[in-house]
Amino acid sequence: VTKVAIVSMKGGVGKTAIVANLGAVLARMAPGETLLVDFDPRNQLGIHFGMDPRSGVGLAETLLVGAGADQLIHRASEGPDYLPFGRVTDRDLAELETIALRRPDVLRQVLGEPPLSDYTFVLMDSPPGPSSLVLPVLLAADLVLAVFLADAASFATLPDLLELSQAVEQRPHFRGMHVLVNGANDSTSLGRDVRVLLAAQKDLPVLPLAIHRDEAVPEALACQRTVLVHAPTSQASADFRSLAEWLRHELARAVSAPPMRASEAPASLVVAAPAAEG
Amino acid sequence: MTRVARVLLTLVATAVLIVATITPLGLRAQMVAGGSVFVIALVLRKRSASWVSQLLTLLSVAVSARYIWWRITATLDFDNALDGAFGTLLLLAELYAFVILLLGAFQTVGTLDRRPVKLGADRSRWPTVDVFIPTYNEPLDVVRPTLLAALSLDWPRDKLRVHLLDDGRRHAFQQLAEQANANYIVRADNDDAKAGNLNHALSLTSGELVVIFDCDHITTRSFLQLTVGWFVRDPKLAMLQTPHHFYNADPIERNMRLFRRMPNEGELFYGHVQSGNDLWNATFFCGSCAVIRRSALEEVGGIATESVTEDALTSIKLQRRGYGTAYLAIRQAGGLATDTLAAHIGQRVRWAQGMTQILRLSNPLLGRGLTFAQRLCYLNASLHFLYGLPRLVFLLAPLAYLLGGAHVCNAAPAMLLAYLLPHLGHAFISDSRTRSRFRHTLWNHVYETVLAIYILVPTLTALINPRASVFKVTDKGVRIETGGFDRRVARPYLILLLLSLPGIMFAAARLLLWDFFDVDTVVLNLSWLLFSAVMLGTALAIACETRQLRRSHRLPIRLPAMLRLASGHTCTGRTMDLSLGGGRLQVDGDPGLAAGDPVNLAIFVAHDESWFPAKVIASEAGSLRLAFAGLSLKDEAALVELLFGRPDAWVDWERGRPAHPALGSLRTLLRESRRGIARAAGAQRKLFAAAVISAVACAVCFLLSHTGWRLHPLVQRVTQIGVSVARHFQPETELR
Repeated sequence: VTKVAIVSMKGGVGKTAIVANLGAVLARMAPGETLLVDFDPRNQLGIHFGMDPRSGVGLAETLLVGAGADQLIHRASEGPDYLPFGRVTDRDLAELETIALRRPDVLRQVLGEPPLSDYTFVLMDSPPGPSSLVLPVLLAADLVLAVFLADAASFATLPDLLELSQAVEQRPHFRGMHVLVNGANDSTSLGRDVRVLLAAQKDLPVLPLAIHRDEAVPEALACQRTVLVHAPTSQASADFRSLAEWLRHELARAVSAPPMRASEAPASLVVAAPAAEG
Repeated sequence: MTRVARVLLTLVATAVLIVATITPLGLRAQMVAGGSVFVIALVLRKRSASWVSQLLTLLSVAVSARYIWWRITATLDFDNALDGAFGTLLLLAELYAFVILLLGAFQTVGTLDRRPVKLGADRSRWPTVDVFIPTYNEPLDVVRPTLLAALSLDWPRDKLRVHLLDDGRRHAFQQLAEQANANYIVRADNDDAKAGNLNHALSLTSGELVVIFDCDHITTRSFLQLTVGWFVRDPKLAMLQTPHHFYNADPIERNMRLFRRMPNEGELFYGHVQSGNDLWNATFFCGSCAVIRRSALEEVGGIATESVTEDALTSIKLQRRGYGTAYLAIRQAGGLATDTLAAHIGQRVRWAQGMTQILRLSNPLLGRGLTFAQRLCYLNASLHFLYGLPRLVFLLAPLAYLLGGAHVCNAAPAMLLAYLLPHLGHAFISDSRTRSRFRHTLWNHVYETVLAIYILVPTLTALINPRASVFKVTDKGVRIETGGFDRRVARPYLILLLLSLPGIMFAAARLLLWDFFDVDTVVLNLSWLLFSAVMLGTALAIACETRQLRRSHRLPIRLPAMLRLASGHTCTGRTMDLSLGGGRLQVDGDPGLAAGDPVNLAIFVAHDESWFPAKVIASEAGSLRLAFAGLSLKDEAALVELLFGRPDAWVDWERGRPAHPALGSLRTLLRESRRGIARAAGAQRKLFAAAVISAVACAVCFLLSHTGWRLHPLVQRVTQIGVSVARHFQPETELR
């Protein structure tokens, strides 16, 4: 099982849409082998597949009361299987955050057990950082895609993200954190400049592709389907296909040992406040 | 092999060759000897080893030498002054062709296929470069992409300066240079045209290397990376030339509808001859797409101004000083071929004039500093342009006999064929073996026929008074709005063709009087004349200009692309062709676009994408035609880089060309000459009718003069022929 985390230090960059649409492509490539896991308390991943976000139980239940994950997975005849976060109260959320702070590898443990460990691909959605729920996702992941918008606000979160990446990169078999630009729009000079700046930084590798800004993505969500179905000839669909190809290629590569930086240990990271974003 | 053995072997081989050349043989012996050597050549040509090519060339030279020797020693016994005059003229033409054959064989006996030399990693040691783009009267939209491409050359910014040398002193050009961050240079006068323009710029700049691009030669980004390495390695290297490549059809290719289906006129020179020159360290400068070492250039006083082909003369001057020159056969820039046949001819007339001037002003055989091989290579380059008169002699020689009854070669037709056929056959075989990749067989005759009459006078005047010629700028970027037969340009071909009409009629008349004239001689001359007529007909076909309305030429570039619509929706696709003005796009799905809709087009090259604002021109099922609208200078630079700047932009240019069978040209030329003659006859009906009528009348008079002005014997002969033809066909009719 290969687990891929989609993270960002800022809300509204399109993480959930990426998880849903990328998941849809992967599910087409290998039906029944892809699981999407929503680890974002906003519980919005399911919307892409027609679920009502105000209803439903999910992963939170497993973490809080130890419910078996098997019954919580939504299985569709077409498209990926997904495990919603579940609707939680403020009190539950606070408790979850405490759990995450105390045992950052809680998600990895859950995903390490059947039936969740039976999937080939697990894509994890995460809450926008900083949040105590981000670290568990990172620690569970074999590969991390850090999502950026091609704008200044998003670019400004790069230092935070670097700090986070240094905290997790020393693990064995970790394939690193890669920058993925979403909503790329190189026809504007700002969009171009941000991509150039991102490409110029040497700390994180940047994916050789981007998800282009495309009206079809929000439209697809409004129709409660994936872009692949809604607008198969759109650039966004093509981008998600390329992303899936890249991911499969990257994961198939033999892992070379990541560069070790002895001075920094995962414990050095303390996530301060829970996310207050809605 | 020791030195002595080598010398001995060379002496023996030379002796054998000389004996083989000068031994006289009777008809039968010559037929056997010539035939068997020819068979050997036919067998050899199937083998692919490179020594076979050289052996075939050697055989061709030897057989031709034997023919020429025989012509000089055995065929010049003329009966009267008329025979003598025509006969000498023909012999001189043949001698000229033989000398060119010899020089050409020497020049391309081997090729030095130079590879690029890698530059060192330490960029601080890379030389500083000045790029010169001289312009005089060319339109701005021809020069724009050239300038933008030169500015995008991959080279350290602090070591590259691009200069626009505007002899037209135009405000728009100055503005462009300022916007694009290039240096704009003008001078007070236009003395010495392009050479003077370059020399003026030379005096204002100081880079170690000078690169010259004609104002239509759009460079790839990699030009300097591939060429400069040789200058770092070899301090005596003064000039490195790269090919001139044209991405649009020249008038010949266009009017024959053969663009990209066969090598164009320049390919023999840039594909083969210059590589051969390079082996002898005799590559010459061609005015553009070349790198020159400033110190060496200044030593010879800058670009030469004495000749209208200042480039070639400059390289001779450099080589006289002991500097080396080099040729790198990798297309690293794309240019515009001339648009009209008239301009095409004008450009070549200038070359012919200039190279002839060199023969007088700086004769490569004379003077100091050149090696023997360099002298021969440069001599061929200059002499080669004197083909005007010999070509006309070859075209019209059969008329001397057919019309005037002159015996230009005093030999029995069978004997002549026994010597002539091996000469022509070997030349054909060795030519098709070594050169057909760069020029299809027989096309040499076409190119020379098209130009012969035009270069005749300029080359002769340049020979007599080499300082009289004036530099003329070649027109580029012209649209041909009214296509059709260019009467003015075609007139010489038409006149020559109409001259051969009475020749054909007289041949028929002479055949009718079979017991009076030598039928063999008549048939020989008639076939020769028909070959000339095919060449002239092809020239006429070339003079039928095809309409060409497109301003910017489409290149078949296939790259992934995307469209972003005004609504924010996108659509994926692929480019089918692109030009600086727009392109055709194959789209996936139906983006629902109509003519006039604004879109943004992104084109992907590897992981880079470039965006261009555009408008939909036409929308068909699955494909769109777009025109770029409102490109900024930056967008334009990106577009130029996409179209012309890729290092591999021209690498695959020959791919997809149909194979060329050895006699394949003949069919094309027969077809084209028919078309050309039909078009010319359609355009000049009265002239054609008059020519046919007078040719027939003359032939009839000629016949009557041999029958004592009685019609009866003629009628009798015609009936006789009719009866024998009818008898010939009778058995067949019975069978049916």
